[in-house]
Amino acid sequence: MIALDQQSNVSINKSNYLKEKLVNSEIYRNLADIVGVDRVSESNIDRLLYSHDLAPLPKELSIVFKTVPDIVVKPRNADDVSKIMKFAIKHNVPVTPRGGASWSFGGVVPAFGGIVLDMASMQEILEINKENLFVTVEPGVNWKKLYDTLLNKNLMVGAYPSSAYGATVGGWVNTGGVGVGSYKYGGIDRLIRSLEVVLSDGTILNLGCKNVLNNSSGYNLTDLIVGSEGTLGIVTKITLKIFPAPEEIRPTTFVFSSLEEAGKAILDITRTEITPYHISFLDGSHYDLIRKLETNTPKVGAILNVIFSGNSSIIDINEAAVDSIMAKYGGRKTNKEYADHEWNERFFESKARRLGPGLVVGESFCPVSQIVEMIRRSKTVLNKLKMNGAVVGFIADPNTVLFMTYAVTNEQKLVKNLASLALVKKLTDEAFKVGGRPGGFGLLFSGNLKKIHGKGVVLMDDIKSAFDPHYIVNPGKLIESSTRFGVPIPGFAIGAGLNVMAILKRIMPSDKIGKKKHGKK
Amino acid sequence: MEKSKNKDKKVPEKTEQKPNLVRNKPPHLDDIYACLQCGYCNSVCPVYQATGWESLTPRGKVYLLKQLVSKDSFLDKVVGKKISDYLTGRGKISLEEAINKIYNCTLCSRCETVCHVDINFHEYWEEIRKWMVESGIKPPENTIDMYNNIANKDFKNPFREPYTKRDEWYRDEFKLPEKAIIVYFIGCMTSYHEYQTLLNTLKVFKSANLNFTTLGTDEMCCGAINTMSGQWDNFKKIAEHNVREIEKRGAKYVITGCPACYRAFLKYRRFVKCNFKLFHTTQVVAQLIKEGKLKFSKNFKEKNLPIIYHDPCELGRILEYEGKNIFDAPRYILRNLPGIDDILEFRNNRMDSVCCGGGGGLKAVNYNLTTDITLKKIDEAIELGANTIVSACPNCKAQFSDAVKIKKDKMLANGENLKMKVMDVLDIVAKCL
Repeated sequence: MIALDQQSNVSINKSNYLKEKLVNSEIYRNLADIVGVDRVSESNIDRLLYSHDLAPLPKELSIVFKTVPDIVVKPRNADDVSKIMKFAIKHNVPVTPRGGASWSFGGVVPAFGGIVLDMASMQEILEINKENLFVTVEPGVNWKKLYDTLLNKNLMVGAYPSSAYGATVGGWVNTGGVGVGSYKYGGIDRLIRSLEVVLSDGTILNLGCKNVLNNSSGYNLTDLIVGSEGTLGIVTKITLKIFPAPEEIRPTTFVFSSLEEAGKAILDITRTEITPYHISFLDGSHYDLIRKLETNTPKVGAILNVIFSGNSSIIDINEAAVDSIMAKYGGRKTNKEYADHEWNERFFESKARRLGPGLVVGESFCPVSQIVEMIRRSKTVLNKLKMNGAVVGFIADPNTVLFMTYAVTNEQKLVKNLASLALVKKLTDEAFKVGGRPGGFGLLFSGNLKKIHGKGVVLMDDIKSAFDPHYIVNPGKLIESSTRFGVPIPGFAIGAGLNVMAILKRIMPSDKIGKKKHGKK
Repeated sequence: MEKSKNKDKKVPEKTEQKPNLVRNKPPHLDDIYACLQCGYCNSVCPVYQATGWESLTPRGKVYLLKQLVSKDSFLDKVVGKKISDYLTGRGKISLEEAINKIYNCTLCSRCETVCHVDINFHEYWEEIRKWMVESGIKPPENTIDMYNNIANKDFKNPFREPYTKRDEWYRDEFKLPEKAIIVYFIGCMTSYHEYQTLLNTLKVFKSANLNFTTLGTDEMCCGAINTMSGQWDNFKKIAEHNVREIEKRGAKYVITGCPACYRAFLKYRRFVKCNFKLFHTTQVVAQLIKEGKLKFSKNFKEKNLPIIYHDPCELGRILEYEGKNIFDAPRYILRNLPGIDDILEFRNNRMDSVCCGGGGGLKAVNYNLTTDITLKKIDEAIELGANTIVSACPNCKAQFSDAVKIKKDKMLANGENLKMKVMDVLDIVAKCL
């Protein structure tokens, strides 16, 4: 149904599919009237640079999806966005909002070209309210900047993404993020007080309650936006609850003989009343890869980081309790320097990319009770696909562990690189088997939506239609993958394709990795 | 470097062949491919903060380079590059535009502090520009002019000022000896634009009874601007000239007040044997203060307090990447001057210091952009309550002075008054003598 809608509405003239120039310079002039000429660009360079995110999508994919936008616009405020949306609806131009583009699933990559709205241009922190502990920001505010600004005022955001240097607040809302601090404070859904959203028809809505919890009667519309991958509307303002900065943030690190043992220890901690700020784990193979880059990296079986926050004397008590749990599973506590180093490295877990060069990441949520099983399965997948990678992740809440298992690939080799995407599919399969679910879908994996939500997808379809009847807000994502020609790609087809890739990957020789010779001196 | 010179010779200038960037691989190709595109650099890039365009961020520039140098993809081979660009909607990337983007950078290396895959940006951008010029791509017009001015015997500086003017500020007042154990290498910026700092430095050295001289009219531009714009081919000649002049004067130590000259001298060692030790003026003055060789008689004027110190990128962060930073010497000097109890710091300081905007030859490429960046810094200084911005780099000083003027005019138009001085560390030291 949606495919039909889309064919009739999106301004891809059926007979002119291949004749590009969806948007001509008349549209440029119109948009420039709204935001000013220095905030619009349709130069080839800018269009190319706004056609990708972390994922190294091959050029060939642009035949199937029109990943290169026709025009890039940098709105200044909600009014600008509203005007742009009104314009887009009138001319049936797809609009794809974009934040920091630090995700690796192509959520900000257009499927049908059109307008890319660079929301990173709206980066003001509008209000820090100390009396009632909330902060109102524009969507393009960088998490690290927000974190630092609040810390200067002795306040703190609850949780932030492990890509805080690159990620924006709006981006994390739309990808329904969990991250550093989520164990204690919850994911972004638990931190949002209110959202300002511009719908496709240009209506500016205020969802949620700025000052208080929104738990009482009424449909919780803010939660609809969380994890919508920008398909329902354009978020233009976010109010988050904030917290007094803790007296201390104390990272501790434990070395285990294997990740499975660390998994057992994690299960044990999460079954106590102790609530650390953050718990993260990394397999020894991660450090084996890092050692190829930084030779002084010590050899370990696995690393478990437990970070405490709060009053120092209470941390002392909790730390002692965690120490004894760790000792039960053979966890050896490292010194403070090592723990601090690990804590500082929390933003830099993808260094191994240099070894390929290339990296593919599979995100999946699994029950903590199945953590050891999932670790085993993930390692088996890596081995079967003959990939060099590591099982890493963190605990999102006492029931949920987020695996961010990665593998090094070589993006210069088209077939092998595409075949590496099979890792994402295989890890997803394993996650389903242990009762979990994959993370985000982005451009390619929206087929998973039905697997997770079953018939709920029909309802989601209706919700999408209610928010965006003309199907112009980030079309081709989440509800249904669709090629640029308007032909939908069913989930099973992508699944089957990736299974073929997996077989291919198993047949092909294993990946060669290693630091390439540095071209200097 | 020898190789690169030979390469240059091979390409005849008149034919103006289209540069083949795919065959002529750039240095650090592994860095281009290693880039994760995580965008951490965007959060710290002063150019991105001022413009907001992806094409002006390290991430965008690396992506562009990757497109320019990568081999044809499978699709390109099957249907041809033109058709595949058309089918994918990319269109042709204009080389000129891409080059322009790459030169819109302050070379401040702040991106290196957060780089996920540890790209050595402090040398990376310079090497890429060098490679581009060697591949036959013309650098921006203004930098070519500067290159020619330096090579011209009548100027020997990028500003097209007569070389005879170099010592006219101090020739008569300070009778400097022919030979001395120390050579004070002044630098073009200080010689021609920031001569107040030049006179103050001489005054400080005299008062400490240093046995020093200058290269006088024999001084030639250090060549830093050439290395920044990628035009390395006469750098060796420049190095040889300056080193020869220094040796003529029998100097064992070279002191310079300009971080760009300081770094250029470090590069000289790749081409010429340098039998002298190199110091920045702040290092020397800090040592003089420690040894009690400077006698201060006046307090720094209270109305100009508090002062805020700005770390020049080339004196701090970049030197740290190249071996040893100079963060502490200027701060030590300022803290030990009579009348100054403490100094303010920018929120981002030392390794995280934000460029003043005037680095990397950006002034010659996009002057308005540099002032946009500087105005942000000045706003921060005002917010922090500073009355004097202090730096240890003539380029930073000039940049701040220009922008403070603009800011003053802007505020005056709104009926407000701005009291903000811009000084070099040495200016302040001289004021207290």
